Amino acid sequence: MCKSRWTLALLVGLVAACGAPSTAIAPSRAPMANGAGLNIQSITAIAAGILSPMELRSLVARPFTLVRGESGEQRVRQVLVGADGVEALRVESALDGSLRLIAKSGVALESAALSESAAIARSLRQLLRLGLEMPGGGPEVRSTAGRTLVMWTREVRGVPVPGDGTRVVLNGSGELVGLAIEESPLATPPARLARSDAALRAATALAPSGAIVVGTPGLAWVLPTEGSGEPVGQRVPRRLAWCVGGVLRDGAAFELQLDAGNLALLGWDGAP
Amino acid sequence: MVGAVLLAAAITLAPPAESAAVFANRTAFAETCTGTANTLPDQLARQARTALAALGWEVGGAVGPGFTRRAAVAGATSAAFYVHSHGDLYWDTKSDARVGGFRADAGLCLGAPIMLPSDISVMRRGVPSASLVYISSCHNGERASRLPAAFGIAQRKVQGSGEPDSFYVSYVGTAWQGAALRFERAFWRALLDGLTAGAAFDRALLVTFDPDHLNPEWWGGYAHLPHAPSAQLPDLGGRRYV
Repeated sequence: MCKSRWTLALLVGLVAACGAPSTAIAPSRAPMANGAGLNIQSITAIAAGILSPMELRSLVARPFTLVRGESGEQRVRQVLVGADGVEALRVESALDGSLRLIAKSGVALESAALSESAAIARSLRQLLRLGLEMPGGGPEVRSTAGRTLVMWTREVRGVPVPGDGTRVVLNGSGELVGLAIEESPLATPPARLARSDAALRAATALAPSGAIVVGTPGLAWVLPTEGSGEPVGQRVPRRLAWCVGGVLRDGAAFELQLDAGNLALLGWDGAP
Repeated sequence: MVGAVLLAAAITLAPPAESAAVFANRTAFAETCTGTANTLPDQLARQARTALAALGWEVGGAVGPGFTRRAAVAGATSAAFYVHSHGDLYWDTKSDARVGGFRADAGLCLGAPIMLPSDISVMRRGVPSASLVYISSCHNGERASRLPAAFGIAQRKVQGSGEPDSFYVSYVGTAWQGAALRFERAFWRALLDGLTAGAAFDRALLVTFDPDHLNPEWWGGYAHLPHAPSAQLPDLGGRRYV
C-alpha cells in the first residue's frame, strides 16, 4: 500500500513534469522518466536504434502520458511526431519499465515477400537490438496485407494464452513496422480440472439447436466475456477454459469457452 | 428502364458528401437464431459510429431489422460506409460470376437479402469514390470480391505519389467476431489519434487478435485521412499535437 502511494506520488510528479515544452529529438540513452523514479527506456534512445538519421530529422518528442492499454494495464506512452504533427513513432512501457509496444507509422510498402526463416531471423534481430527477452518456442509466421506477422504465443504450463506473447510486424523487406508484447494476469486455476469428454457433453448441451460440436476440446487461458461482453480497459484475469468448436446450422463456425473446473460458460465467439 | 429509374433514385437519394452509414446485422447473431446471446454486432457498430462521428461524419444507418436491403442500398451512396454482417462470395447473375457481397438483417435468421456489388455500383453511378469503406464480414477482403470497385476503389495499395483519397478494409476467408472487435477497435482508435488510414491499419495489426480467426486486407491510399471534407482535422478531443 505504502509502495503504491509512493508510486502514485511519483506519477503525479511525472504528469506535472509533462507540462514542459517539447524538445527536438536528441538521441540519448538516458531514461526519460528517471527523474520521476520510473526506469522507462527513452523513446529517443529507441528511435535512434530503429530509425535512420533521415527519419530522425525534424521529429519532436511529445510530453509522455499515462494511459491504460486495452488489456487494462497501466502504461507510460511516449510519442514522436513529425513537423506536420503526425505521429511517427509510439512507445509504450509498463510501469516496471517493461517495453510493451513500439509502433512506427508510414513504413514503406514493399512488394517483396519475406521467407518464413528470414522473417523470424529479422524479428529476433529486432528484439535483440532492443534488449528484449527472446521468446521461447517456435513462432507462427503469417502474411497479412503486405506485412509479415511473427508471433510467439505465451504458454503457461503448456497451455496457450491466446493474444498474449510477442508479436513483430515487418514489411516486405524486413523493416520493422512494430512490435507488441502482452502479458495478462491469470486467475488461479481450478483445483480440479473437468475431463475433456465432460466439456464436450456440456458444450453439446449449451450449443443452439441445429448446431453441431466438432473436434476435440482444448485448454486455453481466455478472457471471460459471457454476459458483460469483452472488458475494455480493465485488468481482468484470464481463466483456464475448455474451448470447444462447432458449426451453427447455417454453417457458421463458433467456439464455446467453458470454465475448466465447473464447465460454466465463460465466453462465446463466432464467424459471420 | 429499370436502370434509369434506379439512376434517378440514386440521384434523388444521394446523401450529402458529409454522410456516413453504419449497418450491423443483429438478428442473425441473436439468441433467437443462434441460441447464444451475442452483443458483438452492437459493439462493432457502436465503435464504428463513434469513430466516424468523431471524424466529422454525419452518421446514419441501422442496426438490427432496420438494416434492410433498401436501407443499405441507399446508405451505400455515402462517402463513408461500414457494415458488419454475414459476407461471402455469392453468385451474381448480372456478372455471371461469384462476387463478394453481404446480407442485410431484415429481421431474418436465415435467407436475408444479399447486397451485391452490382446493386451498389448502380446506386453510386456519378458519385465520387468513397472515402472509407469497412466491410466487416467474411470474404470481402478477397480479390474475387468486387465490392471495392463498386465503391470506386481499385484493389491496389498505393503509398506516395498518386494515392487515391479512399481506403477499403475487409477480411480474407472467415472472420471471427471477437477478433474483429479487437482489430477494429485498434483501427478506429489509431484514426482518432490522427494516423493515416494505412498507418492505422498497421497499428491494428499489432493488436493481439488470433490470426487463425482474422486475416485483414486493405486497398486504397496509405496516407488517406478519412475524415469528413468539411472537418479540417478530425475531432481528436485535443489528442493531436499540432
